[in-house]
Amino acid sequence: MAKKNVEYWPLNDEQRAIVEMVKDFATNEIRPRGREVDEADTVSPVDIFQKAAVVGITDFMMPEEYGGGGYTDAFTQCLVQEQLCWGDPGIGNFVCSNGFFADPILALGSEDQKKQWLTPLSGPDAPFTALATTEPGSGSDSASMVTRADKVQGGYSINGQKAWISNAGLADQYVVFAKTDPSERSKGVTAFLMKKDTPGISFGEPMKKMGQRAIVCREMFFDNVFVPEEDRLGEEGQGFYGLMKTFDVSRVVLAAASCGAARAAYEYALDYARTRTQFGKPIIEHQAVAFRLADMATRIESSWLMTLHAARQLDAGEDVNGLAAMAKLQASETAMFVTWAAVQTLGGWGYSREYPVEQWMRDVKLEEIEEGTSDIMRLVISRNL
Amino acid sequence: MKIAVLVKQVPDTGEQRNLDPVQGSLDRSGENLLDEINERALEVGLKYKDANKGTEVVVISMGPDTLTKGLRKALSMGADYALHVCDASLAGADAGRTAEVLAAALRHTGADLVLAGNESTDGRGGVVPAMIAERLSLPLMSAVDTVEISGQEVIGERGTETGSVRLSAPFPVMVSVTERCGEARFPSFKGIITAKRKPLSVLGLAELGLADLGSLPSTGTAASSIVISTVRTPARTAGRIVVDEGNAGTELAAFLRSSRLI
Repeated sequence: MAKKNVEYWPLNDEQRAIVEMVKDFATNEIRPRGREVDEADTVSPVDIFQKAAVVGITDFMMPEEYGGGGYTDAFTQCLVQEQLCWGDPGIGNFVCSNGFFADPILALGSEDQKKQWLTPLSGPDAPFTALATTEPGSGSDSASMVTRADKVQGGYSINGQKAWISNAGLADQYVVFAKTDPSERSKGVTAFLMKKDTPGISFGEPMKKMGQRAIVCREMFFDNVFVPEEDRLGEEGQGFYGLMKTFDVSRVVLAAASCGAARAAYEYALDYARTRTQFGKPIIEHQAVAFRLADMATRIESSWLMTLHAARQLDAGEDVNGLAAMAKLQASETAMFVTWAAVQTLGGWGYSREYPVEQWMRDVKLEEIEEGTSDIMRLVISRNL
Repeated sequence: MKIAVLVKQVPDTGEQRNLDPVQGSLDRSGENLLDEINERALEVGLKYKDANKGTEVVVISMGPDTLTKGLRKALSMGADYALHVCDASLAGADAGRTAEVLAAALRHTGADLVLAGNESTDGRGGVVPAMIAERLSLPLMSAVDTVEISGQEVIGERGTETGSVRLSAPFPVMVSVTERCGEARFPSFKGIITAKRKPLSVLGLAELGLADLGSLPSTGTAASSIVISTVRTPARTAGRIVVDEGNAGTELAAFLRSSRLI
């Protein structure tokens, strides 16, 4: 995208300083590590998370009263996520992963729970956290989960299995969704807080993934895991509501992540097209290449505008269920197209692991899947028509 | 301990930089950023402040009003307050005039230790720290790769072609650092928030007691350099290809000698 003197939406001086700082962080700390983390396959770059924690990237989105940066608005989160994921999609999402854990606690938690579980996430020594919803047989249809939470003396006994849990094993703190009433669908789901060392919790091997390998996912197993009553998040049956509530903001932020990754691939392809010569001229002077770059730029521009629009509507307290889904659908499918188009523009070099575009193409595929697939996004949009 | 760090905002080195052939000055209309070497100098001061409570770090700069952005960044990294010398008559000031003004600013704030980069990425004169030291009668420890600050003195190491020189000086002292002195920290989110509450004072020449600096007839400003003429870099011409027919070494040596390169 062209350099602009007029911003998409007015930023205040603080937001401008934040964008500049995060851009520097992405350029110096994230981008140079992307390939190494991808090749390592199942090793999270813990040191980058720690560096991010020192400058406040890991907790900026949490409320000030729990020690966070206080930028709870989706708009600022989008500005940050776009820059981080421009650096590398997987690492960018990894360093902000505590936001996913915090969201249901902010939606459902009591004051004591917020203090106890969110305060440790602030500061330079923040632990990792995870959110456990998905199961081997329950993905898009999360109300069909079968992990059970049976009432016992003083609390609950959790039994079951979760799959695709980001940061599982690495994380110290977990929000786990389970059925307190298996006869119900969404109304039977309740959320629980637990620590990694709770007896009965075990983890599977790292799952082999196509991309975003900075975030290591594992299965989680629950064998008579006792959770005291005070660690139940919200009331029984409120878990699904809490989960749905977090989706609007997380989908808008993932739309921003997609925009950043798309911009990275577009910039890379544009630079290559200007310098690579074939048939006696730079390939950008061949219309087939130039028009593809035109499509890339156009789709990124519209995705970013839609993402920021959704963020502003969300921050203003509007119901953005449909709009958030539109932003994620548009931005994630744009990122998939743009990274594909970047590989195409670089040709054989695009297919090579010497260049980053093939990795970004694998990375962004996740954005058409996580926090609701593109199919689910269309379902949500259609229900909001 | 009071540490003053001299900073400057310069055109982004990642972008194309252009000289105005008429004025002989650098086109500063694009994106301007705090010079990286200044951030590294600031880091030296901030590290000492981290370990020694009660240390005060002030950033000082001379420049147009757009400089606020760079000073706020220095404050968000951890400096306590900023002093901005801003006066329209200083536009285009040369190294000598810059040093005169910054020396006055340093007299105004006072400092035990003055830190600066050894040269900026725009002018690259590398003389301002020495000029300031001369004006303030401070010992100068120039172009050091390392800086150790103790309660009594500063010790630095300067790399040379054959090894290194270890230097030390008591306070007050002027130190200029090279880019080897270490990476600067990122501003933190909390730093960015608190930076807007930190004092940033803007002073004109009169407030520094320099009202009588006067304007030079050639430029109509208080800047003191005069551009006599400017010449564009000659366009590149095609080079000569030396084909190796067994005597390329001799041919090459002859060519270099004829061009007075060896």
